[in-house]
Amino acid sequence: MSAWTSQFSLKSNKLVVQLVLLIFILVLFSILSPYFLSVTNFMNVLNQMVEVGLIAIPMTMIIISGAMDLSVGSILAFSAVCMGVAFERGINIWVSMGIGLLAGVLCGAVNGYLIARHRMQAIVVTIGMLVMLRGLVYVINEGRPISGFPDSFYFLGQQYIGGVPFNAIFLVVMFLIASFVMKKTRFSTYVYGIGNNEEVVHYSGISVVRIRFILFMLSGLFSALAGVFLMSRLASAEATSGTNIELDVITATLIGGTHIFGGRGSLAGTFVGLLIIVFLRNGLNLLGVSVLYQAVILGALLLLAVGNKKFNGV
Amino acid sequence: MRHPVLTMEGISKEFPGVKALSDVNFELYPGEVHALMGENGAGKSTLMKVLSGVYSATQGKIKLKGKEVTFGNPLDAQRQGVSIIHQEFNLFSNLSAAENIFIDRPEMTSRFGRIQWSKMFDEAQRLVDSIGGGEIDVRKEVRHLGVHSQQVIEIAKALSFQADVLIMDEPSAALPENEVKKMFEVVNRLRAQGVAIVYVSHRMKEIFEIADKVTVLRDGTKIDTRSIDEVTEQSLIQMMVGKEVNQLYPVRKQEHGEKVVLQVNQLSLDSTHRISFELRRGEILGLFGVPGSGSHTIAERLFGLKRGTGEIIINGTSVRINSPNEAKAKRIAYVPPDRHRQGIIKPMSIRQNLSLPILPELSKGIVMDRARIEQMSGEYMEKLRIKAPSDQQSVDFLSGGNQQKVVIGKWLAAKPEILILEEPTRGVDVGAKAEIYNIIHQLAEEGLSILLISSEMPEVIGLSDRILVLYKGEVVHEFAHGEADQEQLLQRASHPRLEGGTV
Repeated sequence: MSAWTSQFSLKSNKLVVQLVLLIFILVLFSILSPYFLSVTNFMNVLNQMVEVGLIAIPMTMIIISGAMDLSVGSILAFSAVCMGVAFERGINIWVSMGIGLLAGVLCGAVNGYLIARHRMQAIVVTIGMLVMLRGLVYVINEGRPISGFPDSFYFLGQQYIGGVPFNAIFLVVMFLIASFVMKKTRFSTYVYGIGNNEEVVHYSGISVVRIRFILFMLSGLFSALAGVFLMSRLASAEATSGTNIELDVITATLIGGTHIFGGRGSLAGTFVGLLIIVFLRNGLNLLGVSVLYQAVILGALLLLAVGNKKFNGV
Repeated sequence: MRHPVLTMEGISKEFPGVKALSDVNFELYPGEVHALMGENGAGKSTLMKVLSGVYSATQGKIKLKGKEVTFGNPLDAQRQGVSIIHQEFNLFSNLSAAENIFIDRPEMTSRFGRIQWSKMFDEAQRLVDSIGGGEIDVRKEVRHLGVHSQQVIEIAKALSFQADVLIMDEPSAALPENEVKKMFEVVNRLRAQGVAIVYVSHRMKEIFEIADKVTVLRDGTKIDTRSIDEVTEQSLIQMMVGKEVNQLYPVRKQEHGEKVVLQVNQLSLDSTHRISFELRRGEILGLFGVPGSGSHTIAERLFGLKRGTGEIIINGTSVRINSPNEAKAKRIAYVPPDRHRQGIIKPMSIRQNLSLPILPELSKGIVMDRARIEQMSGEYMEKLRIKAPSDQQSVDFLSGGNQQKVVIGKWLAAKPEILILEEPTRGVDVGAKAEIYNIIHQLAEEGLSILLISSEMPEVIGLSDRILVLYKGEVVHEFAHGEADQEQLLQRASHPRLEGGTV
């Protein structure tokens, strides 16, 4: 039997389809739009993908572990507003940033506590948090935007280093670190293990509760980080920040080959998935395609990417 | 001369790169129970899948009541009179027994698709009664029924198709020991009604109790069909394995140590039952009891899967164990009863599975040390003779015996002092069983203290230095080595108060 000799990998190493799709998109829009293929445009795209990209890192891990975090957009806004409010009270901007990040981690800890410790359904818990935190955001700052941060803060989201946006460099570094963690450390074995068979991991004397808890804390932290970068890029904290961002994040993750029921997937895949959706959006924008149609196309793409795997029996 | 109800002639089945069956002939007569035996991978299940319409044969003919037939799918086979009852039941637990029996059947609905409930209930009850399941209320949801009753429902479902041939795949696997008898009664009724039954099982004792004939497969070919009177357990094993397995249970070379490694005082199993015993260095202590006796709970308590009161003393120090993690730290290992759910992560490699419990020791900081993991996994692959092309192979593709060796191996790698084995050879073929027994034996000789929990009596008797018989959360008897035989053991386990005192 060929299955006997073929090695089996949990990391979806079949990124071929995704890469072909990405190249296809790049070539197609280069032909269709005169503005697409330019350094300025590319750097713009990279600059704008950072928030989704940052959240996609823990999201990939969480989905591999067989769970889901839908509260990321609300955590993003909540942390951003916490930071904004702290700053308005006269606290130093970097200290305020620390407060914002801490708020994110705390939200993640609440998710983790309910999901890991009390074994509540991840989707249910995070939907609850999604709704609750969004409400809390409006309560805290009464829906008005917070702005007027010092110039030094805008470095994070607006500064270019050697022609490349700083936040994009930050994102790539984060992806590289996370990729290393998900390949070389025992944490990765546990995450893939939990996604494939949680009970076996538990029966092997490993604290599943702790791993899940860490994952949701990470998700909170990275969502908050995304909030900080978004504030810096747009120069304001708004109550609507990050609305529906979870859909983009999950779409990128799934297009990247991560299995929705867990157990399989990779950060490299997610990164490619991310590039696919941002360049597609950008290209369609340049062609003047309405946002409504863009949604249709993106949805169809997701169905295609996931369906393709089903048909090939991957 | 009776005519066979079913004839399979020259059946071959090829999968890409492997010949699962080659030129198998099989005849089945009405009113006979025909056991089908063979090691895992011998082709039993492939043959049954061909017969029940799951696979179509590459070559060969199937004749049913003298007419050549082809089955496109299992439903097709069922309609033509061949039904299969799988090891795992296919019942909807939230539907009533009657609905399960007659699911998706046009004859139970009126012209406009309305279900004719009373007709369905009456018919279902009649079917269930006819095989001796009179105590079952077919209106009850299946989840409220016991395992035996669920099996009766499965059989009734098969019979509702006017089955001439009924294939039972490991029918006793899911049943507690005391319900196997009831299942036999059902089988006997079916036999009297003229149904031909193919009985697929690993359990020798059952074969001799229920079967009329036995067919043995090995490596995809038929070895022989014999009448049950012509064979013995020994000769059957020989036919299955192809070589002589004269000693399934190794002989103890040295006495176990005197030092008490584990002492359990008043360990609570539930709100009312507490248990005490001790385990010595290098000893194999068998725990035997019918389901509900509490032996499984003892394992769960010792491994920190369940909490409660009582004292656990390891090497003279009283310890608290509240999680598997803490148990592991106290050098207790547990090979759980259901390897698919609790033992192995199937898509992962042998190497990953073997290293799972001890990854912290095989890492530098948080980074896994590839070289040491490789070395460790190679060592245990060899020690346990796990058969696979490489340790990078996913465990999903291993045979049951090799999978079980992976579970044992991953815990040996953790260098335990106390090893709890629960059903260590469940769903494992005879050849691998002998190997696993040898491993267990060797471990004990090396000084590992082993707690053996098993529902297979020959195993408990053959391996244990001492056997504690449990009944409803109490130790009701203790057998020293060589004292127990199967009859006594079962008697103590099921009717503890018949004679003799308690320990």
